[in-house]
Amino acid sequence: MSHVDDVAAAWRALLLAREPTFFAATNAPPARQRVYRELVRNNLGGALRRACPHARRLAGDVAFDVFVDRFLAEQPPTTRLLRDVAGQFAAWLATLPEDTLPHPSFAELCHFEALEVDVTLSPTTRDAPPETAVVADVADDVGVVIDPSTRLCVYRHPVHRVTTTTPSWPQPSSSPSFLLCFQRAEAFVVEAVSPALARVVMMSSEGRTVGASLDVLAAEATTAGVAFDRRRVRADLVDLQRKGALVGFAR
Amino acid sequence: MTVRQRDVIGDLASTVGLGFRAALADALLAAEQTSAVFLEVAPENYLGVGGQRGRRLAAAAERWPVVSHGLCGDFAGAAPVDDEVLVELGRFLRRHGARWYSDHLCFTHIAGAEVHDLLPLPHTDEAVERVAARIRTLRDRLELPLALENVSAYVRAPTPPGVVVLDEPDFVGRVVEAADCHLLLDVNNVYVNAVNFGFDADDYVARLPLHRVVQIHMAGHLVEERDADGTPTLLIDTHGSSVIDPVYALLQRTLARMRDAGLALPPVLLERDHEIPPLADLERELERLRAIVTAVDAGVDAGAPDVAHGEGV
Repeated sequence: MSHVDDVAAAWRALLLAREPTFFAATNAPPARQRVYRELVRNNLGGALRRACPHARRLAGDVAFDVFVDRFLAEQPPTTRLLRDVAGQFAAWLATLPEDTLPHPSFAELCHFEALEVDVTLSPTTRDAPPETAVVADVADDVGVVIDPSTRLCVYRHPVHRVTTTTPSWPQPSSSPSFLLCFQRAEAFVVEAVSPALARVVMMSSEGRTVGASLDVLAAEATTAGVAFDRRRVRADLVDLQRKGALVGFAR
Repeated sequence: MTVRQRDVIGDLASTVGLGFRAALADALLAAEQTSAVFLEVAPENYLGVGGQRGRRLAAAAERWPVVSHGLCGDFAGAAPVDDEVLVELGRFLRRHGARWYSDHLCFTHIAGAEVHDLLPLPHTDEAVERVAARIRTLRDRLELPLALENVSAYVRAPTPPGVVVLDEPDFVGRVVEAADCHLLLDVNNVYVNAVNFGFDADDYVARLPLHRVVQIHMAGHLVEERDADGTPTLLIDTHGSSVIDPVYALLQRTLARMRDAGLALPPVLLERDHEIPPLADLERELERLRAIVTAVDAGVDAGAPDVAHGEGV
């Protein structure tokens, strides 16, 4: 190992470990080394606190910062983009046992808050027009073209309903929330969708046609002995296009 | 050197510019006039960004010449340069017509972690070689002039016993010579380090390869510690306050030194990242910078600040 790499490791032990290891060097009094530790932790911690205001408020500053400290020590950010640090924080939280979190919805709420930043800054169709010809009708042989800002996610807790005045953590729903999150007129929009619609959007934006996607769901419904309304899903796809989550449909 | 300092700078010689920040975008785009002749954009703040924020940058890049200033270059990294990152960066620089790309001579990535801060490197031959090799690769891949910035520091990085440690200006000079790249001279950082480590700022500047300087940074800092007499002993490079008089004075002397050496006067950029005031306040600082540049360019002292000593923060 080169001494340049040794120095990098020494910086990490000083800055990110829960207890700093000060390095012995001329012109490097511990008080000044501590300046770097505070700068780095304030910068990264500040980015997380700003990105996750609801999770921070509900958890409390002290509890939130415990997880910031653990994140920096155990799985620090690897992204060069400061705005993506919150997403990495949420991904790390999701790996932790729920009973060690301030609330079982903590990781999901942080994820949703990071997602809002991601979607808001994402390119949209206006910035990046689709390369394929888009049509307005939902025929069987078309695929779905989603807006570049659209993200599909599933949460066990209705974290998308948390606002600045929500007094307590969201309780688990009887069924998961399937959400399409996207940017419309510069605003962050959340659209709750049915599980069937979510799956059709996912399958038919990844290469299957709408018809083939519906066939998969119809077959599953038959096996499960439940009804499946193809027309309803088609109508919902048109509605999603009208709302801006989908650019349209392409052959 | 691949391209001469004067040729890299081109029509941005003797101009002043402003760091493009989201908080200033609306005011800048609405302004009918500004002293800022060019803008500096940090790719890390805009890579992959669209929507309103991305469109504001595109509009600004149509109106002003753009230079690009990276924040996480990881020039001392052990891992190979990430091809995907380079492709994305190159695309960004071309899209916005960046005249050159600069980044900091420091660690940003340490042992697998991205810290989003600027950490001093050991001033050793090994670090010179490590950084220079990476810079050469980056410059060749980006096909743009590349400049390294001298960073502020509060401690010196540790070095193993027996390894020769270079003085900071010698280290900076050795790196840019070995990499055959340009230098972005941050005058505030020179001032900050001169206070923090007790050296003479003018001597430091004199020892740099000024013929490689293609841009200058100016910014404010914070006094973190003073001695019993009230003299600052530790300055923090915050970019969160106005430039102080001694830093303006150091800029004037630096530019005069470059002029006397027959060099083009590099564009001077005002950085402000925190506590960002209204654009009108920044315009006053830009005007002062412009007056200094104009005066030095004309070979006269008029327009230079009349306070050459003392700490203004």
